[in-house]
Amino acid sequence: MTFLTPFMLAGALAAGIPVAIHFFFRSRYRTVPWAAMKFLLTSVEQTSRRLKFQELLLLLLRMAVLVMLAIAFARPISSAVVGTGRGDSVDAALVFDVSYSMAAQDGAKSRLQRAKDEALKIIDELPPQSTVQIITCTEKNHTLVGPRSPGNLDQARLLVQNLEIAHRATDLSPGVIEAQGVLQRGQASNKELYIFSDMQAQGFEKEGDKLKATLTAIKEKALIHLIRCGKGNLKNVAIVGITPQTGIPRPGERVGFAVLVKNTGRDAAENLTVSLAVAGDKAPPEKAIIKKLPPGETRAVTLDAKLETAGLRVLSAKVIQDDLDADNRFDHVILVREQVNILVVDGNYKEKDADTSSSYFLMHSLLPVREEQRATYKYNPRVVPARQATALHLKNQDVVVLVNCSLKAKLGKRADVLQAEFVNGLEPFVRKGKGLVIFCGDNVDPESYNTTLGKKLGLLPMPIKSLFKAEKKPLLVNRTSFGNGPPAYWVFKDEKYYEDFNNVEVWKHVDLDEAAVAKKIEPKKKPTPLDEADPDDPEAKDKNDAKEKPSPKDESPLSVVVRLSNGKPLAVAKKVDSGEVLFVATAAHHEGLDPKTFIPSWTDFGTAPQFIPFMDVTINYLVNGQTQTYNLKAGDTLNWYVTDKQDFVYNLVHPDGKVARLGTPERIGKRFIVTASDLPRAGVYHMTVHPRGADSSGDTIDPAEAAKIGTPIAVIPDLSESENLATLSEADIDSRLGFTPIHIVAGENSVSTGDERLNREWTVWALLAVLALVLLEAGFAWWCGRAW
Amino acid sequence: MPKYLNPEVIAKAQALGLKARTVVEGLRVGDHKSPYRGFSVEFVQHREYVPGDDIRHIDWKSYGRSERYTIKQYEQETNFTAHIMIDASRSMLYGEGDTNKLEYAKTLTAALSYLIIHQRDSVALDIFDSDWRDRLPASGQMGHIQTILETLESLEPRDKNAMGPLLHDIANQVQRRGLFFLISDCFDDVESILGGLQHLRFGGHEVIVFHILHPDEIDFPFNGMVKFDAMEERMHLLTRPQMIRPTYLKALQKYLEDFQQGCERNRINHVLMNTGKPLAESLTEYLARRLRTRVA
Repeated sequence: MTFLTPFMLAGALAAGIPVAIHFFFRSRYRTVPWAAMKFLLTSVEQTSRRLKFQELLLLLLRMAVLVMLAIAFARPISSAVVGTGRGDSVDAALVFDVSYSMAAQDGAKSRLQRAKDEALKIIDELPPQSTVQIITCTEKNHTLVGPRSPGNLDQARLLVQNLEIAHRATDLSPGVIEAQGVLQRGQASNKELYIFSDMQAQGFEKEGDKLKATLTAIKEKALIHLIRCGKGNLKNVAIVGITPQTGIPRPGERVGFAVLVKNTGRDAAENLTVSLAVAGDKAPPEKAIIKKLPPGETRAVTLDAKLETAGLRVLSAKVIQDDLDADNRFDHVILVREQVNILVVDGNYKEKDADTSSSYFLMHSLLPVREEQRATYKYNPRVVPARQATALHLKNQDVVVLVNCSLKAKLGKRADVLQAEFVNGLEPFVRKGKGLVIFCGDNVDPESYNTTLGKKLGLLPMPIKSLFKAEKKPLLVNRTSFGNGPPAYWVFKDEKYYEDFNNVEVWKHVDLDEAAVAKKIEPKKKPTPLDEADPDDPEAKDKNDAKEKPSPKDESPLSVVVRLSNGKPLAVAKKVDSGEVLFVATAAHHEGLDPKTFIPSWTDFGTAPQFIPFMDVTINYLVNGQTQTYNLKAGDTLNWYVTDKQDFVYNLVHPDGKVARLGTPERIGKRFIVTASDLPRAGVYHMTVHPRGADSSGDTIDPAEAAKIGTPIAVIPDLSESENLATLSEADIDSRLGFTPIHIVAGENSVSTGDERLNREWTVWALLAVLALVLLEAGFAWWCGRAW
Repeated sequence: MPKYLNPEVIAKAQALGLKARTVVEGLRVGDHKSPYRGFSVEFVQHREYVPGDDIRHIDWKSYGRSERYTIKQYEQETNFTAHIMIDASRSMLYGEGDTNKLEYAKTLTAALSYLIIHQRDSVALDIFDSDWRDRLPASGQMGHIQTILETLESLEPRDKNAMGPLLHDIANQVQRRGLFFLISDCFDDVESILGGLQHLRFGGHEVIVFHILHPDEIDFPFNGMVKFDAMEERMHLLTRPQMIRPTYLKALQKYLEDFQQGCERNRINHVLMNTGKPLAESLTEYLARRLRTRVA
């Protein structure tokens, strides 16, 4: 219980008046000399206890009358925050679930439209002097929409009418927490919270404890209304992925893509038309029909698309027709390129005796074609001796492979050591999304690798403990362990063709320290490594680089690609920002054969038939990973690495053509970054870069024009939203919350909050209590024979 | 006119007179019956003749009717001695002006004294509180009135009331049967007072108790917060009198009933004198009632 005019409670101090009067009159007496004391004493003796009790009771009754009168004047109410008591005005917080399930058609209207209609009705029924604040919420996101002046109900109506869906998943918790703050800041006497949602179960589950705690706290001060804006089951089919059928899409080729379609509804979907289009392609999109898709089933539909030119291309898959449009389109950016440039850095390069070079078999695995076909082959590897490798070599490369490279010169040996400038350049190279593969060999010194690649640059997936050498029997590759690595490598476990992986012998390998790897992994960022000129950035050569950049500790996700028969990791992958490093714990070359037994010093992996597909999958894995940074999910933050913060203006063109200026780049470590955290809607965005002063674009731009000048970024809806469209019943909600809010079905119940507000004020009851106490006191005083 | 001789009271009381209702022993022939039976004017009874009786007193008429010798006996009238005991304890000081209990008692004493001496009877005055304060021997001289009045005028209450032992004391002292007037508020132990009065009655005295009470003591009309200071003790009581009035009146009523019943048991005249009522009225009322009772 709280009070509308709590200062009136000070009137309860008047309860002291009867006490004061009692003592006042007790001190004001007249003295009478008395002879018949005997009878006086007798009568007092007989009546004193009864009289004291009556007197005390009367005193308490009179005090109760005054206290209750003060309470009545303070206007007690069942639930409201302490305000200034401005009559019956209401501070209303309207929380809208704008997850994309609210866009579903439910009868004649969409769920969001139902919510808007009900909200407008509620605003119309608010008493004078009321305020409204509108909040939209989705998972991990909320927006206080306004109005700027809470008392401006006309603006509130306008804002409600203009509310839009976000392609994010539902979660009511962020909006409710914001509403709690809004209600606390309000000054009106009554507080009311309205939550407009389809009551999707996820909205109550993702941060269920926090939501329950917040609503329970709000309940003490405000009336909570849950307004159900939809009912019934939705018929929904979602496109959940596009997977290229070939490793490296090349221009001019017709490439097959598997479009994954999933039925997330409760009923089977029939006659679904699935299409796949390439942005900018004038040819009609290829279509396929799924006759029947049972609920919960995912079906891959293979559709071809011709990729005319190299560069970033946007694929758009669509499916029609169901109740929920938001997840019927799936955009995906792929990188179409002529060739993949691979720089192989050999620490044991021998020009005259090539087959003894550590990169000899590796180069053959990267170019497993005839001499005349090499120029047009998808991979374009180039070998460089370690001592000659410079940062300039990293330019235009997609993947770098270090083979048996030494980081520290050894006494008595030929100084074929990588230059520090090159080594330092590897770190930004990888962080921008490129790939790095490291093979071991005799030149690999655990200490220098741990120090430089590990601690300093953060590129080493695991610390190297020592060198392990098998004495009598070689170690074998554990083919089934591919199943625990990245999905791209699962093919070696699943397909019988690669059974011989089990026969690959490893005689020597470096022992990686798995236990030393920190298990705590921070959420990764998704930077966009479009800064082509960055390898040339002179700042990259700064030897103090490590001190200024974020901690190079192993914070990125690690995965062991494959293990040996002794359980030790043979290949380990590590994400470093948007790039990735693959460390192979053995050599790419046998590094010498025993003259008698022909047993290799390190391994026969390089000469095994499985080495070629292994390297092919590895290069594809590293290259495809680069495009993941152009593919975001609604609600993700776009981090855009830029070259020069001084001379360019960065604009993000939304799918609807709206232009958002991203502001001045911020320095993070040695690099500059612009961010865009507001990607609420799915679709194709475009990043445009203009020289400062030359930006003539207005607030909107034609998306087709933006596609010509900008870099595409595909944003898909948060598919977890439609994965489970189940809604909660009122009983389910009540049991989860632990109390019963006011349930309203939009469009059915009339939201009459006036009666509720009246019922909350207990002033009338308090006044009746005062009257009853007065009558009781008067009757009792009369009965006691008391004079007034 | 002396202060305590109120002409109105005297006039009214004189008209009614005061006669002893019981037998009193006197020294001369007067209006009152003497215990010494003889051959006076007033016939009392017959008794059997015994040898030695004067044959002059044989009632021959009775012999003619019953043929038995009987002697006629006559009552000898004499004067009486009245003892007026007046309470001079501090509790008698209550009341203002005419309603003051002590003043009322003094006026009553003066009136009775005058009345008794005027009809040639004797009056003794005994003033007491917790002990005898002053005692005037019995006298029938008119000049005795003056002595009594002077004694009353100089009377100042000093102590508390404790009359029980004093009544026993005086009962032992006075051998001749006479009239005893006790004028007091009787705020003492009822049993003790009645014990003393019973002792007087046992001595053959006629006892009349003038119970003097103030209207406040009878009605207890106080309101508001009142501090009652005890007049005979060092104590006080702060209370709201209106709250305890019923129980006070109840206690007083019980006390009066007990006292009155005790008096009736011992054939003692109990006369409640409300000082709010004029003394002349109260006294004549009593004397008239007394006269009626005597006639009947």
